[in-house]
Amino acid sequence: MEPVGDPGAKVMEAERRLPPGPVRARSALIRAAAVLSEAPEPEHGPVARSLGLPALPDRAAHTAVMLMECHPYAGVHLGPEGMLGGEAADRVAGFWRATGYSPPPEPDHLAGLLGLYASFLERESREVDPARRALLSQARTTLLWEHILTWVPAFAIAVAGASMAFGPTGRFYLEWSSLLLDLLEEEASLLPEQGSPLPVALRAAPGMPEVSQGDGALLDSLVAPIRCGMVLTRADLARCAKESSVGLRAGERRFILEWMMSQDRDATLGWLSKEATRWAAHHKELERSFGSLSQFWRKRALSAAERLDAAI
Amino acid sequence: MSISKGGRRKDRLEEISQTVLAAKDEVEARGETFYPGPSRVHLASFPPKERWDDWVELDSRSWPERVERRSMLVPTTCFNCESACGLLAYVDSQTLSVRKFEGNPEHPGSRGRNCAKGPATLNQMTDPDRILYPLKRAGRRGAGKWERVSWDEALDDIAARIRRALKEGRNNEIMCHMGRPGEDGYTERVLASWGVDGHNSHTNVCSSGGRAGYHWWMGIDRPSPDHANARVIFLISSHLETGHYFNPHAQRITEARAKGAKVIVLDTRLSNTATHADYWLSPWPGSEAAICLAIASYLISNRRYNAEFVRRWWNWEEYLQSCHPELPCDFETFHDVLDDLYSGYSFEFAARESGVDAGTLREIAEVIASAGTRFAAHNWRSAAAGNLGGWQVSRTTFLLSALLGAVATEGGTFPNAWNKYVPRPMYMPPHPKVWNELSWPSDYPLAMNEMSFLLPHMVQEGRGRLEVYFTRVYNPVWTNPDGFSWIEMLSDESKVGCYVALTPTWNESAYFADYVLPMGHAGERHDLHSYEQYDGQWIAFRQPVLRTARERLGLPVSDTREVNPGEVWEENEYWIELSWRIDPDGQMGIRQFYESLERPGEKLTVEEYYSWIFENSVPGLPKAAALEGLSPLGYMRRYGAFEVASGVGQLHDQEVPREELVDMKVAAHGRVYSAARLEPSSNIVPVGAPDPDPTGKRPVGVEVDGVVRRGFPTPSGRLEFYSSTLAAWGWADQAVPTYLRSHVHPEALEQDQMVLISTFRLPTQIHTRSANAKWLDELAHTNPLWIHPSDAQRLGVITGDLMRVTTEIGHFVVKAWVTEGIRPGVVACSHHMGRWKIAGSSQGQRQMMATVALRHDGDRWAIEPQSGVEPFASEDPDTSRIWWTELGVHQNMAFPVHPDPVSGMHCWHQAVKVTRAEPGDAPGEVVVDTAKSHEVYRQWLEMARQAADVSPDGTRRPYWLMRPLKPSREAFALPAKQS
Repeated sequence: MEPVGDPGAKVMEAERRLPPGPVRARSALIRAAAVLSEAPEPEHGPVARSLGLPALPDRAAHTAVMLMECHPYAGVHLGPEGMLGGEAADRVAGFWRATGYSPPPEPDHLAGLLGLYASFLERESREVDPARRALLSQARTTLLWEHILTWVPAFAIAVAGASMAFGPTGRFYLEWSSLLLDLLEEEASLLPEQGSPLPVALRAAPGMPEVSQGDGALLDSLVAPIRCGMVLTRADLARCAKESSVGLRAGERRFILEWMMSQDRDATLGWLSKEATRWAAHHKELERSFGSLSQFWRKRALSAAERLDAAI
Repeated sequence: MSISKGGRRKDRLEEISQTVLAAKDEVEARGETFYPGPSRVHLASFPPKERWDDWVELDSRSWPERVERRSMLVPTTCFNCESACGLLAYVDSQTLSVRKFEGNPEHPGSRGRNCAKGPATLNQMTDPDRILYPLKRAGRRGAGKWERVSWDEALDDIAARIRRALKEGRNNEIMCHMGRPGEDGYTERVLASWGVDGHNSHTNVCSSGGRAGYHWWMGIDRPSPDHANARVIFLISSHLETGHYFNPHAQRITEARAKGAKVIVLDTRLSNTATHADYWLSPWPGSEAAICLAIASYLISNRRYNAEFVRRWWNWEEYLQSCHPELPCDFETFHDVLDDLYSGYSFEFAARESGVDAGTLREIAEVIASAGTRFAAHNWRSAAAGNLGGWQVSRTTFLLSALLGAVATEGGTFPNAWNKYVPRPMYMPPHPKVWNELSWPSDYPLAMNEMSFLLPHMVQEGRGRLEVYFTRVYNPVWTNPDGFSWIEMLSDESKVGCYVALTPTWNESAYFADYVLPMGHAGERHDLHSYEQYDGQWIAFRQPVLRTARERLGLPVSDTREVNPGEVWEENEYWIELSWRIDPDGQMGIRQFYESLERPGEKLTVEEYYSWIFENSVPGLPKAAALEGLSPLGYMRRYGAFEVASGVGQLHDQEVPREELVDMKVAAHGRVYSAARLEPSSNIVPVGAPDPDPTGKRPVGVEVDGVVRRGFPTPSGRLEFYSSTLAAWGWADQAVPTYLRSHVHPEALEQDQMVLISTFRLPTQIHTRSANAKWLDELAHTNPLWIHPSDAQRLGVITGDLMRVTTEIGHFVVKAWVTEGIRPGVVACSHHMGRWKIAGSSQGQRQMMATVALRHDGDRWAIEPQSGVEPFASEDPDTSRIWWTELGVHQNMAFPVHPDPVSGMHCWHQAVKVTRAEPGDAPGEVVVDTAKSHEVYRQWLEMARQAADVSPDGTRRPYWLMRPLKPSREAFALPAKQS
């Protein structure tokens, strides 16, 4: 691959050289959707308007949705602990390096990954050498199916759910997540899955623990999306507390779950099981667009529901 | 869930994408950027700034109970080293006390990261031994007896003394001796407003050797390496990368390494930075310039240098015409001369001088040659501060940058002034009309900074006295070489009429003061600071965090003492108040600089002072503040820092606008002068000030290939490979980068002598400023003597054995630490340690100061340790858990002064005899004969070349050179000319 520098810094120059037409418009759309996952600045206003989204939220709303509830990082969704960084993030950084880019400070952030995808799209359209074009297409396919679609659909569903908890101020992120999902479905249809084995990020992810491993291991798996097939936000847990008639305490999600279970274990686990089943239905719906990836997530959610039922 | 399906989705997306494209084209047609850059907060590390008013955390000490703590997060700037890293104070919302300090993610330099010294600010603020009230001496100086006085009493006495001295024309008897300033020019302007040339800095025991080498090249005395983007990082400054600029540089070096950069470290001692280097070279102390020249010779002889950059930007024509007038003045001839000039500096020669094998040097030269313009080089203190001629180490280091054209390039080294922003304040007092020979003696006309460490010797020689001597967060007895001579001076009231120590913490000098006045730490004072750390310009605002927290709650504070512990004050308000008391009716012309513009005739407040700066002198800040609905001051109080510019680039290459070229004249070698008036800049960062031409036109640029470009602030306007100033002022033999053999060169040593390196630092302490920070003290509290196993075997010592280290003027006793981290024949002992307090004193620190007896018999002085530290009861339960007892040795006491005859830098390295301790020797003991120290002073003075003998124009010093608190031009005239 041709080594290049920071794609962000070269975007404008690269775009100026793009031929007019659908690729230019597609890459503009992808980049526009990507930057809106960042904390809003005044410059984001025209971008949001051009996408037909509601008024730009304030930074507090962004913090609430994107920092406190849902985390736009591959590492969080694909890592076995559901936390930032780790091997899942390193894997993404390795992809940047392998394709000739210096990984940015947060290589697995959604904005960076979509920006990189748009860069590949643009380079591919400019490339006249068929062999190099094929290489770029292969890189783009890998990026899409291994590092984006493996987690962003679940993230988008979670954002939609969390946004609803914030009333009118959450409407922006509700519509943004819908657009994001549409966009990914469209890209997936244009660059179909190649029938290869599941991406390593999914193959390497541990599933739900055995009942014999106890509640501690169960709690660990429930806060790791890739293990339980669902993204449990704080807003979800508040809903759980309300619907299960248990008290809610402030703290990190594992602690909240633990506290709710200590009050009414069966009610809490029963609610979680239903939630897992609900997520399985979401994934089922996405299977027509994302094939084996959504199938994997659905199985994980069903497995979580079974495991939760068994623990009651 | 997605709401669109199949074809509908495709149509919808196509429609939106066309709208996006149209919006993008429209925005970009206006020259603006459509996609904003990344702005996300690093989720893992920092509280989002939207929640800084009410941040909730669980109290770790209450575990397993889950107790919520609510805090207001208030930014400030660290006051320990000069890096000015951002801190965030967590102010408890209930008690309004500071719970902790962490990093400020909004700070462009430190980016939310800190070294250990930043969070330890909390220890400094809550130190049970700190000075909380103004104190006045109650016995003889040094007796350790104090009485509490009011601020009014202290200020009235000090102001009266200053007023009397000024009225009697004794302006030179007022002096303020600065430790690390931690601010940009406030105190200098105070002294200027009084009309005194009384600024004295610690720089000549610190960085002036390094500064000199850069200044002679660029007219700017500091480098700003762009480490993060470098391909090769070359450091002769490892203690800087682990000490002074530790955090901002270390994080950027780490970034560069992650991208594959190579790091080369020259350090005789295995420093923290060296442990991370791709190449660690341990040269003989003082041989570093020989290595640089060998690399330079390789680049030149193999034509691996950037000839086009050299042709355009070096003053090679001036060099050829001055030194080789017989030769044709063309670049190819210059190449041949240059090649010949350095041909003697072969790798084999450098290997003989340094002890590093020639093959390694060749390999390194090749790595450097491959760097191109991404070569970030840095020398600061280290070898430049250790050796006679040390300033040539930084001069030869920059030679490599200048050969590669890696000057102000991405990944190269910038002149610091281009990466620093010093906003113009509301008042700029005029240059003082006097010249203080005590700090700027004409013996050293080219000294980069004040000859501060010679003060006791000059006073002893009768060159002057001081009526009021301030030390400002500075500890001259402990920091300088030859501390006993300082004690002699400070103890003598005929030499120093009134000594005022402005300090937050007890120190060795304060024991000899008449007044000890408590000053604030990082979270207790206002200051404004900027530092070169990458290719950008930023300002950082230090503020009393409890004052700001109260103001957020709508509780106004008019005097920082209202919120600080005890009666601790901030300096800004202190200097304003003192200046009013010196000139209460405004008759002396001082008070005008401390009056409100908004309320004429009333005292200036810090709010108005900083509001004016932020509103009028910081481009972009008012707009950024307005976008958030804040005033500029409100923005700085909220975020603590502002980036004025990034990607500054090659200012020297900018074309001078036509409107500045009024009645232009192109002088020899392309220097361009103009009659256009110099418009005052809002950035008053100090740079060299080349003289106007004989008709009074100012230098405005330099002609390069027919285009007038901004150039450098040197007499030639170019990078000065050849310094006409050095040549004209008696040092023609050193006017180009060269290698000077150090005073610790093997040929200068007696057979049983070794070299002692005393300058290295530990990343967890910072001189005396950080002492009594309990976390730091626990990490580092002693300074054993590093000695190589081969030397240890020869002397028959093992780790922990007592050693006696004998210098020219005395000896000290220290424990050995046998390590391969130092080369054979060299020993090393770190800075920061060996703190002491006088037995019987009612005050002093108890965590890091040994109790000693000061013995004095004629010229013979001794420190005799009596006890180390031990646990003690205080309001802080941790003081009862102190487990360390040893505190090391105050080695600087045993060093004589070694002023470099050109740069004026104290040359710290010592030729010493290292032996096993003798019966009766105690660890930490120091014995010195001050008569001998005066003899050594005289010996080194003989190497100097006096202005009266070498000045080409009857002045004391070249006017164009940078100088803190520069006097007016008429004060530069030598006394004979004046008469």
